[in-house]
Amino acid sequence: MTNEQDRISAIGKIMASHTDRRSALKAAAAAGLIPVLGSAAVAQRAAAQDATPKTGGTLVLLGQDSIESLSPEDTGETVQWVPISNMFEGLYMVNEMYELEPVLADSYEPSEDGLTYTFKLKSDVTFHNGDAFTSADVLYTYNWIMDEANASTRLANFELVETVEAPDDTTVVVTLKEADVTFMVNVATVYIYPEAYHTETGENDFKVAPVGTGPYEFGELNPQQRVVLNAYEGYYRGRANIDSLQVDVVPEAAGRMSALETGQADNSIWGLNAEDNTTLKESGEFTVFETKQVATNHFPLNNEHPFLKEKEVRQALLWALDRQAFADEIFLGQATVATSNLSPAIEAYYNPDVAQYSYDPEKAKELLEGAGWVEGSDGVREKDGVRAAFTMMVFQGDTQRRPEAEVAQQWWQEIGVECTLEEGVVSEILGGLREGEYDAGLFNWVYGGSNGDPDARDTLGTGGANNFFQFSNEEVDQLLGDGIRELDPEARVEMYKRIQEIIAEEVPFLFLLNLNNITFYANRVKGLPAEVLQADNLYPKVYQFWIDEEA
Amino acid sequence: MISYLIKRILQGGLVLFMVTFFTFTVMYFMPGDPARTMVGQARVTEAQLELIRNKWNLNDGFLERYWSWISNLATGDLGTSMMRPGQPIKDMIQSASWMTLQLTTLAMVISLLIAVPVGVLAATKRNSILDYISTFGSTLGVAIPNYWIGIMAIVFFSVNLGWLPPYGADSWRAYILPVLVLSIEEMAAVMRLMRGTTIEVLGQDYVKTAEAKGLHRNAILTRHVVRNALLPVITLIGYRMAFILSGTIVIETVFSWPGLGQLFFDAITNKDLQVVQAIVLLLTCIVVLMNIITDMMYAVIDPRVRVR
Repeated sequence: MTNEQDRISAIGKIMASHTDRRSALKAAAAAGLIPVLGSAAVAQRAAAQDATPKTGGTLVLLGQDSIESLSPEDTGETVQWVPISNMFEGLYMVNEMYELEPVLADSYEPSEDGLTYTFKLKSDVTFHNGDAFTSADVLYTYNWIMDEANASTRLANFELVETVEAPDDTTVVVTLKEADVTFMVNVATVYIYPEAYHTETGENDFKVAPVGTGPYEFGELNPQQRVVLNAYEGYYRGRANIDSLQVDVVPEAAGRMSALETGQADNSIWGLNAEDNTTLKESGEFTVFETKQVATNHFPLNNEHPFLKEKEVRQALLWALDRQAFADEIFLGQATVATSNLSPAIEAYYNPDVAQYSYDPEKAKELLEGAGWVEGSDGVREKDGVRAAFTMMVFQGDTQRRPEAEVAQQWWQEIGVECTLEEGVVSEILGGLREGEYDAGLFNWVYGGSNGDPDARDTLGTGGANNFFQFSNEEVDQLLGDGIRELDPEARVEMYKRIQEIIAEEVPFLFLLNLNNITFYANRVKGLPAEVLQADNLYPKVYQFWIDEEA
Repeated sequence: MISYLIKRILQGGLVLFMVTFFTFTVMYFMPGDPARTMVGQARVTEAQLELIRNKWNLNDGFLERYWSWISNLATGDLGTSMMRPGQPIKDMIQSASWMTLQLTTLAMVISLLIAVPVGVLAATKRNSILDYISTFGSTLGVAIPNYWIGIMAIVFFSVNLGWLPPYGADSWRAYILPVLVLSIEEMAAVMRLMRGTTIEVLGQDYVKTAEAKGLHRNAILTRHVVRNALLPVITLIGYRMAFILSGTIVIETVFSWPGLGQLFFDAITNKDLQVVQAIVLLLTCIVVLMNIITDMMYAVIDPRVRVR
């Protein structure tokens, strides 16, 4: 397998891999609350689009992993989310500019205390099977997820939901247990089931015969090969221009690359190799969107490890790394140096004014000396019988990121720290880090920004389900808890900026890079927006695109 | 003969049991939590994960789960998949096996059609140009990993020349590249073996006798030499057909072929224990069957074996 990188991503279907595109999704949730201004992160396109859309054709997208289900329950993997997001809709969505956009609802009205949200629904919407969409479907969907018997994958989002009511066909009222400003992004965007049909089929059969309200309806599915969707004639915003939307399963990055080069496909949902990105960019055959990922490429550290538990040690390890060299040499410039837990992609909350760590091995040595770590006979520092040594776990076959660990190993050796590299299976490494059984690792993960909101309770909060570092900081816990209750947008921004300051100071993990997300659309695809902040969020807008065979 | 067959079948049954038990054990104790895999990077709480684990019986003990698997199997039920929730595993395996079977059978036929005559010719014309070329070619074919050949073939025939599709299994044109690439390794292996055994048979006394009694050279080759030289090749073919998966898993990945190899890989990465078990069961059956059939074929081709 030439592209181990992609196998890794397939393994465990965990987005711990190099691209976190899916989770980057709805960033800046509160974009509804805080306007996002143009910035360097915005992908700009120069060419103006022809304004007369044509009807017909098939848009071919490429995925890296088999498509096992098409139910809104299973959007965890991008390759499944893309077709699902074209068949299903929520009351609201977060669009490619990180703005909240009404879909099945016309408007919403939060109460003053932030505990009640009242939605006005559209009245002219029908499901693909002809059933009318009403508030009963919303009620059914929300209650289905909250019913523990269904063990829904989306249950955590509904933690703070108290009740859901439907006073009439076009009104839905949601009452929360406590104010939660992530509500609009996490709950109001949940895709709606058709009550009658879903009750009849049950969730399992629904997964392979889905019915929603979206611009495309289900055509055929061969999990290992492809899914085909067809334009839904009765779509309330007007039938899609492109007749069919097809996602082909091509696990091999080289295969996806050649499919793009030969024009067999229009876009790859899953990323390509850095070299291939460069080739395609230069070919002139594609519209290119280059944006920032929400995930951080990092070395997670066990904050309870006898050597790594000291803040000065973790800071020293960071001073000893030339992260710009990682960006330039390993990722061919398609990355920038990370500053803390949040990516600059989460522009409204991103805080650049935090402690900075440039490449300075002398500074690293000073810090270690100052903390009492002195060089032993074998060149490795020690203190009170503890050696300055730890083991870093690298994903098996992770050829793209492994060089980061290898180079770091040498740089650390120069400051008297011994790092041993070991390979392991993805799920084992993630599990071991959660349990504190491993010292360190290397992968990408989202520390706030997933679902578009800076909330990071499950990764940075004490005892969080994905707290890979045994990190526990009282102030951070307090801020994370207050953060989802703060109704004042500006005060909220300050809270998450403060969290970044603490993380930059405490260095619970060695934040390395924020990678670029590069998306290509073949030139024949028209109707693309001029500006994009989150290219993945363009997929639900395929119905606005059209194909110009002459281009 | 019959008692021999029965003995082999009983042995096969024992092998089946041991292999499935062993795989089950490995899969069961393999680290990683399928519940976490299901939710991906979505926000989760421990309580929510526990609900999912209970729903899929992931909290049951080893013996409990093995027993439920084996008792379902006894009624002919392979169970339903977890990675494609609720889908009958039987259907999944049926469609995937059909795709893989097409690929391997075609590749095997093509490689035999080419490798057997070339191997025999190379042996009869030793140290000729043809011999050198075929020896060099087969060494290369065995040495170069087929995923590399696969990718090169895609680059050359799909990207540069634009003749064939780079992936998929929709039209006959999509079959050409994977079948050819897969047959190269088989071809190389068969050719080398065919050449070697032919040379060996050519030196046998009965060949000299046949020559001495003035039999035509072609008659000697077809009636005596090839027939005898084919025996080890049949063993090899049986062996290679049995290991269908190992050869195709890579090719299936390179060409995005929706076959058994890909399904197996997906099932392992998703920790879908039931699907892995079903595939292992199927493959073990094939290996056992192929071994028995190879033995029987021996008896048909070589009367000496029948005596045993």
